[in-house]
Amino acid sequence: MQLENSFTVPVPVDEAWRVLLDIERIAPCMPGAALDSVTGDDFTGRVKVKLGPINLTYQGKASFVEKDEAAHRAVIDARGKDQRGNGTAAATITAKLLGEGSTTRVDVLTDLNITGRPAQFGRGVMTDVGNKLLGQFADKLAAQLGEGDAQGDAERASVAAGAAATATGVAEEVAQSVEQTPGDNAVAETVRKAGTAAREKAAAASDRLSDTGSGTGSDAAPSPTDTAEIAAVGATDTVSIAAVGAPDAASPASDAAPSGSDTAPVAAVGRAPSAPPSGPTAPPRRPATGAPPRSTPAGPPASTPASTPASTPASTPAVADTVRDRPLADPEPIDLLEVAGSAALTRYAGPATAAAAVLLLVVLAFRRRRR
Amino acid sequence: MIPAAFEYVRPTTVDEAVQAVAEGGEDVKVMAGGQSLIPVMRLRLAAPSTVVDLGRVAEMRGVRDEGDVLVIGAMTTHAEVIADPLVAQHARLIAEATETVADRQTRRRGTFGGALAHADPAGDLPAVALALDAEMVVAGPGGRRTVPARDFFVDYLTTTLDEGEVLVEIRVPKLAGQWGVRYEKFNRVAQAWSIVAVAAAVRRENGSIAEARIGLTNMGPTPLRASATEAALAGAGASPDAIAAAARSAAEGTSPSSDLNAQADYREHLAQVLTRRAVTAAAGL
Ligand SMILES: Cc1cc2nc3c(=O)[nH]c(=O)nc-3n(C[C@H](O)[C@H](O)[C@H](O)COP(=O)(O)OP(=O)(O)OC[C@H]3O[C@@H](n4cnc5c(N)ncnc54)[C@H](O)[C@@H]3O)c2cc1C
Repeated sequence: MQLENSFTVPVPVDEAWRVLLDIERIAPCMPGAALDSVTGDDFTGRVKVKLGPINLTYQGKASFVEKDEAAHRAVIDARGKDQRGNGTAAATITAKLLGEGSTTRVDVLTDLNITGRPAQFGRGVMTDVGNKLLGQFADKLAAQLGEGDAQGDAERASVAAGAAATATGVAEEVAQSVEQTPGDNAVAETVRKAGTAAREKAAAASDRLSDTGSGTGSDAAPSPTDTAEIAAVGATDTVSIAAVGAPDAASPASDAAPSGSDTAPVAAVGRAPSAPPSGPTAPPRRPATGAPPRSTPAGPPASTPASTPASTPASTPAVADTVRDRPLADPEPIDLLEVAGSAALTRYAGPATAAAAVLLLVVLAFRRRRR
Repeated sequence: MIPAAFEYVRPTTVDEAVQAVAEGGEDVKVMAGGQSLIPVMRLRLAAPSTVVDLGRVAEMRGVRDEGDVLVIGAMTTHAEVIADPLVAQHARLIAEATETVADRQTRRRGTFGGALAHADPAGDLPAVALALDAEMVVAGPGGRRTVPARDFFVDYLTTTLDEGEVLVEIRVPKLAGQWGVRYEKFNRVAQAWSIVAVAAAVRRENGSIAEARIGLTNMGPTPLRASATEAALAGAGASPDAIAAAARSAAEGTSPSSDLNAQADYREHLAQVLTRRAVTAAAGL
């Protein structure tokens, strides 16, 4: 994820450049940061993040990978690991200085990659936390440089911090329901199995489809192999998450679902504000499946036409659809904000399993009769 | 989903609790009902070395009448607050809002003080405490201090409580005169957190509104008062039109976030609608 911040320090650009490259001088300005060692352009240190009951300490290394004095541009590469094994954080920080007479404007672009549990907080929170930290950093730096008129983003950041609330709430609801619904694992297991089956069917179907090549939506349908793989990962991950989500947890999807169980998951995705990640690592918006490839859904209501493909047996859609749509909901790091939305999935896990069971019975009965 | 190992202390008095917190080192955490703390620990977003469980501190539990003020112990559970006759009589707004908090099970464990100390912007009780001009009594190594609700909530999940301090009780001034109250909460699913909620207390005098106090939940990193609406209502006629007009400025000065549940502008809209409804009901219309 990318974070953009800027702040102003009350010194001319050349002096600001000198100060900002002096790691030992600026590190103490970073809230929660402590420098352990400095060797040339490399340094090690710790950053402690504290937010209410949340408490994380990242320990790591950073180094200047670029120092362009003429352009007043510096690039720092940093990577750290949470002390308690909660995950890793890696960042490429590009700082550009722009002289504005007696002051200097500093534009900071942070390309942040966080894995593990903190990533579950989703972009909203991370952005807020990032902005807040940088705002405080700018204020302290400005104070250190003399007058305290740095226009850090602190205010705006603190104002924006609200989003995290939901995340915590969700964390609670999720954690709670794990405890409260012991039966979920069995359901998850069943659904997962159903998912695997459906996925295989879907992959096969998409093979067929891409062979016939159905004009319009070809770019929305990734190559069959891709799909199969992504669906495989996604299905397992997400189904188990769905089982975790409390049935009664905040589920905005529920009233957005206009028609039956198979629509809800997609609606949940469409609503996620922290738009599903795009870029090289992002999974395709819609894995090709038994459904005819459609162009990327524009919005929640449009995303799932109630009619389902003729290419799959009439009674399968319930299962196939539910499972198929799940990978969409959660790209690899589980985003708690999205889990909140897809909590509705839990509700459909039951019906989906039931539908699968009924289908199985029908098939068996049918076979017997034929024999 | 298993928390990291921690030391566990269970004091029986406030003094012992404060001491236990002081001795617990840097990573000590106070636990009330554990309904917010335990999940965070299970996700290992927090791994305190010591947990000080306030569950056995009897003096922090219960509600008492001190003349003009109702004193609610921080460890009084949501369920106890809902059932308490003193709260029902003198601070009905608290009971009404608490009824909307979580589910029955969570309300049996979660506490009034815990919900305030946790300071979740989507939490229902901070806005109510703010609307009622409650005061927090805080104990620390240096003794006790009292913090008005408007100074208590600092930021998202952050209060003025220092590390080492414990919220002991909450002093709620009784509403004197002809007050009506209403908590209007908007969420999509029963028992979920507020997307936006409005706490209103309205005093009527001779057919008009003499005074209104309005607290907003989830319209910023901290609970807020709808000051513009409050000002517009002071002295206004108790008519639907006057209330509707005043409610239009309910979102003034707020800074709601955008998230999965709602965009900021939608939250602003909700604040206006819910304010109108809450004030209308509180004014007895
Ligand atoms: C499924 C679920 C749904 C919920 N829905 C809602 C809802 O709709 N509305 C709502 O408002 N809340 C909701 N909650 C939260 C609930 O109200 C919690 O009870 C409350 O937020 C925390 O109270 P607690 O007593 O459990 O505190 P704990 O979890 O024990 O503590 C929370 C935090 O406060 C600190 N703390 C607690 N007590 C003190 C004290 N006396 N002094 C100093 N610090 C203290 C702790 O150290 C910790 O950081 C929900 C919770 C769950 C699990």
